[in-house]
Amino acid sequence: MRFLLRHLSLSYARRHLAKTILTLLGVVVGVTTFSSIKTAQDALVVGIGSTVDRVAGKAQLQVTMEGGVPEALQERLRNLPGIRATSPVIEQIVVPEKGELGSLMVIGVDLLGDREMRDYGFEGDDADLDDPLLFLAQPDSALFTREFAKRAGLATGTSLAVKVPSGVRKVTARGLMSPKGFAQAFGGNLMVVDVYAAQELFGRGRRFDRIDVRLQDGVSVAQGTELLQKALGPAYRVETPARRGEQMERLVANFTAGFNVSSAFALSIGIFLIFNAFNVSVNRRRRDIGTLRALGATPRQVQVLFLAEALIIGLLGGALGCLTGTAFSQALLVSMGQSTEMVYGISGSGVVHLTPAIVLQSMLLGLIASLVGAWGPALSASRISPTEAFAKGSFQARVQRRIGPRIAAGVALVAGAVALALSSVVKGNALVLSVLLLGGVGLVLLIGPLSRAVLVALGPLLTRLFPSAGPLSSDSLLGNPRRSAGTIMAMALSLTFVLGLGGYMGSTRLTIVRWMDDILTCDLFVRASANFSRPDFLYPGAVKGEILALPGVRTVESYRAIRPQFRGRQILVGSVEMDTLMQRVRYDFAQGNRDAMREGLLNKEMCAVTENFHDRFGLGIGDKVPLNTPGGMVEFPIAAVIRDYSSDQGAVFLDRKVFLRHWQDDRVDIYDVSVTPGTDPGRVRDAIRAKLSGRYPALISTQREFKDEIGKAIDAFYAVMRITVLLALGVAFLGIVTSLLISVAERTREIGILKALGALPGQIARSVVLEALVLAMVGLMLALPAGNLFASFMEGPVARAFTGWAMPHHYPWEVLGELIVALPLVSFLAAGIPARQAAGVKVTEAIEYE
Amino acid sequence: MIRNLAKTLLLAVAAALLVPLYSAPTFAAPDARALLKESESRHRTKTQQYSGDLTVVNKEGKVRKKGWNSYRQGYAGDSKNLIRFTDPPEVKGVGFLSLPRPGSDNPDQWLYLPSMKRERRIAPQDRDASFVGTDFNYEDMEEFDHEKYKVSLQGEETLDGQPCWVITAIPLEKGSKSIYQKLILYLRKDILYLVREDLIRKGEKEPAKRLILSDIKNVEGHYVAARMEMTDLKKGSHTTVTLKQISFNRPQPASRFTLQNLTREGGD
Repeated sequence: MRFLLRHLSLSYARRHLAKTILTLLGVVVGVTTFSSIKTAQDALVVGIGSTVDRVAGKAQLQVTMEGGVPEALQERLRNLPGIRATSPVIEQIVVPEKGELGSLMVIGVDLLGDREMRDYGFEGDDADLDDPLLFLAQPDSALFTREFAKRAGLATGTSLAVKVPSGVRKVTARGLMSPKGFAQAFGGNLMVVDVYAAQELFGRGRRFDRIDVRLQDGVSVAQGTELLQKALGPAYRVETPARRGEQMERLVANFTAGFNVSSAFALSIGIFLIFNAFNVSVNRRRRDIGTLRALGATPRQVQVLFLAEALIIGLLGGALGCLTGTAFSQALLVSMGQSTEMVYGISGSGVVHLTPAIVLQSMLLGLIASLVGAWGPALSASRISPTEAFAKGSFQARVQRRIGPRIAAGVALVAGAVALALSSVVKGNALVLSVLLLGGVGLVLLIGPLSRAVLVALGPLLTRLFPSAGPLSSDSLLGNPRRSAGTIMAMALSLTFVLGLGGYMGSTRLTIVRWMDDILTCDLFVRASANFSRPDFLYPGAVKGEILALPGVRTVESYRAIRPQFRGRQILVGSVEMDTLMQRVRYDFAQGNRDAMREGLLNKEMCAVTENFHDRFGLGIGDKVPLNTPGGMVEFPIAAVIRDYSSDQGAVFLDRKVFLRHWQDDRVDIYDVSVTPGTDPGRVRDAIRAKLSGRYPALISTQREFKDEIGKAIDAFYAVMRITVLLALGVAFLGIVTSLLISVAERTREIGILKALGALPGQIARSVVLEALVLAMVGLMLALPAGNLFASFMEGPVARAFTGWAMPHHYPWEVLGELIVALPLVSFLAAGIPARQAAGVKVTEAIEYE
Repeated sequence: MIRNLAKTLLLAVAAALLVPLYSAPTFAAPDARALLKESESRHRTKTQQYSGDLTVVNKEGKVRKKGWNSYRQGYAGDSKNLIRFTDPPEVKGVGFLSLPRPGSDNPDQWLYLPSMKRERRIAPQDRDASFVGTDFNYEDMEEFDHEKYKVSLQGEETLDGQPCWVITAIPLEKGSKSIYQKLILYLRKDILYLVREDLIRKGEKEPAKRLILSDIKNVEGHYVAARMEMTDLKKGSHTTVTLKQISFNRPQPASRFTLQNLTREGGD
């Protein structure tokens, strides 16, 4: 075998270096996509967990409450038996004015006693916290990690400008922390401030985000939890830092699940590239195979030889893909981190690590992809008889004879996939994987025969449109059906992915835009936080009166959202003045109606739930939603089920009066302002700005601006998905280049003869470009129905499984339009080198070729 | 002559009566509790106030200086204290108030930060924390009250040429908790004035910190150490408080030792 590998395989690889590299590239790109996504995904989840863990320090339990923990609770906790130490914490993400430094996690702690909870790593103790009294006395004081300080050029006593809700504020470095323990949280991008200064800075009033608790020796975590829960009541959540981390990880799981689909697609497209390359390789070496067989090599030996080649390419591609994947993953992680921060208000640290598990998985995937891709061609090679091998053209022209059963199997599998998607037998990731597997295999079985049928049908048209290049490209494509089918398969799969995902993203956006048009009907939105999920600052309730008193203001609604846990999920509980709100918005009802909702919410202390809440928890009209309030558990009967996209975990809406009565917290996230008819919202905006200036942060958006900002948040959610779509297009591009290079090399002799008969280099080049165009357009044609099915699957069962939202199907016309413009360009670019190569073929060399 | 003898005899009788009171240990093993009680009764004053210069020198020799005014009412276990920082401008107005806590041997302590316009209570868990970055911690800021300790006489030692009683004090921890396992007190024999305190943390054998009281002056009939130096023997840093404008038994306004006054702008 070593002899065969050295003399047959290595010599072929040397002679066809470019093709071998392209085959290798197929594996590399597939594995790169997988490993970069997987590495970034893992780093994101680990980063979130590790940040929670490190920030928690020695805390065994954390006490939280929706809307923040009142200051007075700390004293209550201190006096409970079994408590060794308590420490209040405020957490916030800010961005330095120098954006390149990355987001900073601000931890507000009580430095007077926090060393009982966290290790600050002050090397040389006070030497690194220059003056503790100054730190406490000056509200602009902050501690930074040494690593961050070095990057930011900070020394003790110097300032850093950071963007906080009230604008840009300068904070002064009063001390530096060594990178260990707590100071490693959030990848070291940490800023520690006094917790009371943080209250002021981030508008927390007299509340903390949580209180960390350290138990006395001998008190177990279970005992401590029970003790605290009993003492504090149901309004407070008592949990371990690890559990809090898990909940955050679960929240971003929806977001990261989409990437599994992307990496699966990238890998399967890579498999087709390999299949194509090996198929052609078998075809090209049929004479060598024939010689081997004539000399006594068994079919099994021939098959093993090709599989051994695949093994080497797989290992090499796996290793290279793993390395390049790691290089890409950092950028991917930054993008994922920005998305989770914007969408969920959760941030992790930003450092990726190539773990042995990912190396192993990548290598295995490269190997499996290569072996799967090479299996069929290797089997075909082993079946070549010596006589057939020496009869040029018979193999090329051979087409699959048993098309009927193949088509039947393909149709059955696709039908099976559709049936599975429509049924509720399988759920979650298993549903996605099984539907993709069934549909993908079905598609593979169908694309070969269908592409041939299309190519045959296109032949006369091509000849009519391009009298010289048309027949040449048509002959080339039909002359090697395996190569053409392989390329079209890769292309069709890529485009199915692009159309499906593009359709899903478009549908989501369109649905949310329509919903925004129905709901966000006021003129101005006054808010203190740029982030929709994590309020950086909350307004006091009294601000409403101040805004309402301004000339030109008709109504003001105070929107407040809290995010409590409900049956293990973080739902949204929103409250607003329903009487004025319901006069201006249009709700889409899944259960109940406008009058029942109005009557129930305003007069009967009822709630409205969203459709995804109803789907997730099985609660609808006639049921009650039990919610923890500071006064204990309160059950709110459901008055209506509405279609709403406020939270992918489900939402419950209450009238503000009901919220105030039970939560005793009048703070506000957003003031919805409607102006009187004929008033310029711009003037009212200026008046509100002037009113709040210097007292509160005020991000005031018009209706259009506010919707655009939400649109940006949606785009951020799909930003990484968009990158994977580009990767898929890249793989398809590679597929065309490989296929055309092979096509030109295979037809060198034929091209030489054509040139000898008078064909011009331009005509030859045009035929290659046309071939590329036909490959791409046939791929697109076949991908249209498949992409539509995939988009429907994503919008329906997948979206419903992960978010509870069912998106109405929307055909991805925009994506299709973009592809119709982009594909000819991509094909033209992909055909560039092969076309030049074909045009440059010398007649004498070509005749001698082979 | 007789008169002289009578005078001599009278002095002898007086000496015989007084000596046991002042120098009984010379003849018999003294009781540590009695010594501390006597020390307290001698040095007890109704109030004390002074201006202090605070100097913190870290192990690298870096010096930080601050100024404060200190007011005390009561003595030992029943004392109320208010400290108000006066210098540098960045920390001016920062206040520290310590009040006896009913039902507890640990006092209530608050720190007031004018920039935040709010007081912060020092939790018992924070008694070990450094007092505003000095080598004193919050427990060290409490007045020493021998009744909270089990005391015993260790022996005698001479410090700076002055014979001293060496007394060990172990926290009783009845209604309180201490961060120390043991204190070793050095009481100057002649005036029964505390001149040194070695502080041993829980679980440790060697002193972690040492307080030296020096430059002892008699002001308004009361002995007072005009210089206190706390050395952190592990970190190698030390904090010195130099007392100026010391006065005793001046009437203090009743409102001085209240939270309202602590949080009042410029309230002394």
